[in-house]
Amino acid sequence: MTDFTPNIPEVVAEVSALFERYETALAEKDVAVLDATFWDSPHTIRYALHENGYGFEAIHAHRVARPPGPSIKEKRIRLEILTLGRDIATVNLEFKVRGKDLIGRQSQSWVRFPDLGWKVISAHVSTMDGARLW
Amino acid sequence: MEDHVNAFVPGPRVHVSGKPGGPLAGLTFGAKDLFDVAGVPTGGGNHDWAKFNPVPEHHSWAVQTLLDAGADLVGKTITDEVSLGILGENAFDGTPINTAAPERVPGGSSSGSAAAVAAGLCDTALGTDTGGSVRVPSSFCGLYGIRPTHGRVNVAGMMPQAPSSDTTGWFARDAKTFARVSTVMLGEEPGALPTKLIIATDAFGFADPEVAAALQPMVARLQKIVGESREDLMAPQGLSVWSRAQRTLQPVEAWQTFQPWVEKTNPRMAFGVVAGLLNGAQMPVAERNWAALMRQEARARLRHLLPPGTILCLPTTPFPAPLRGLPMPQLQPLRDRINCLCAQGGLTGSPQVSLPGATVDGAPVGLSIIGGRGTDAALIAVALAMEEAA
Repeated sequence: MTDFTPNIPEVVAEVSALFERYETALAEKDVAVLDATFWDSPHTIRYALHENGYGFEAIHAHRVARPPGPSIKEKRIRLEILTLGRDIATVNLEFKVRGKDLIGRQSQSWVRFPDLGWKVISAHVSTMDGARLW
Repeated sequence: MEDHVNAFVPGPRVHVSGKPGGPLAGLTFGAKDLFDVAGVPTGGGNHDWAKFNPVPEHHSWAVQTLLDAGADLVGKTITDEVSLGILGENAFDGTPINTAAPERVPGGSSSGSAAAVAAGLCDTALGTDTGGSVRVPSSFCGLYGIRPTHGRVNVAGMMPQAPSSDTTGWFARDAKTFARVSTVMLGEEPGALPTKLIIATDAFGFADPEVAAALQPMVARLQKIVGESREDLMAPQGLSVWSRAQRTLQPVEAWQTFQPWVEKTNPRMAFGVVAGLLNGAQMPVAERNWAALMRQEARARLRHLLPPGTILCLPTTPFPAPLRGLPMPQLQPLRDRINCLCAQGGLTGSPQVSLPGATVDGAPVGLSIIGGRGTDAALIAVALAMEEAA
């Protein structure tokens, strides 16, 4: 039977540490760690602020092309980590965009593969624009 | 201080302030739960160990030495069960998180000490190394770590496993802290740099090709620092032969160490630990005699290779840390391969330092340097020079 127990502490600790390592790697543009975080598959998707990465190769190309510089995250507002059982997790972060009166949102879906360990299979970063669309 | 990586043993956290004004003032340290801290039960990574053993009245030599030098003890760290393990998975207390590669094991048996230092929860931490228990977590967590010359650092108050191989070691994130702690623990300042380097081609060939490639820039830096270098075999009989000798001698001694406890208290233990002890209990005399001879050959080999001024380098582990939670049939071959690159420590007693600085798939892997017996301080000097040249 599949285990869907929410937030087993040691699993949360594991995903939390993975997320923190990813955030550090973003700030330091450590491409090896960024690549190791995402599932090496054509199915992986990463919607970043200024690009839509379909598949690992495209995501990797975006990583390499990104100029180094400070992270756009000035301050964390709310971090939510949910784990279900030992193999599924989501991470959602609400943050303030550096130097702007703008809220950013980051979402990741994590799966623990038996042979690969935890990998992000889908991720999305966006900002809440002040101008309403509806 | 929140322990977000499960590095410290569950329950109340011990804190002992160091003497003011010492050379390590301002530093914090963790102590693997094999080191006695006065008034605190030594857990040994097994929940039935403390029941059999009285609460210590005195600090272990290593804890006392760091406190006297001014460092503050901030907690006892998780160990593999009775120090029998190389990956850092403990059935009682869980597996500490390896901050440098969170989906992977931290390595063991000094798992909590390495995890705590890697996560910045303390500046240094005490570990023990019998068959690789400081070197392997150093490699997996991206830390400086030392297995000193056997017999050099006092092991009083440290829970034994296989006394002819047991050593007290320590970890740090940076070479300067590593050198400060080492100066206190060794009672000797970093020594003169060696002048000759041997690249152990058998060990590099045995490691994953990705590991050998990732370590090449570090080897090149080491060659610049040391000067003259050449390639040679560390273990002409074969790395697996050296490993077999260590895997024969160590379990026999471990069984001698733990037999009274096991027979008197029938403790709860993980299957893998029981299997290891039984292996030692049932070791044929012929095997033991062969292993004792092989140990003499290994010692002679390193004496020959490592006169004063010469060091040898090799990958600390053949691969970066395996994933957490792998099933036992997948783990055993990995343990066997790790042991092939670690056996020289327990067999010969030569000092070894693992240096961080390389990664494979984003996960750390260490480069090790080995010197002749008693040359610990020269290895510390190399660690400093390697960091400066990075």
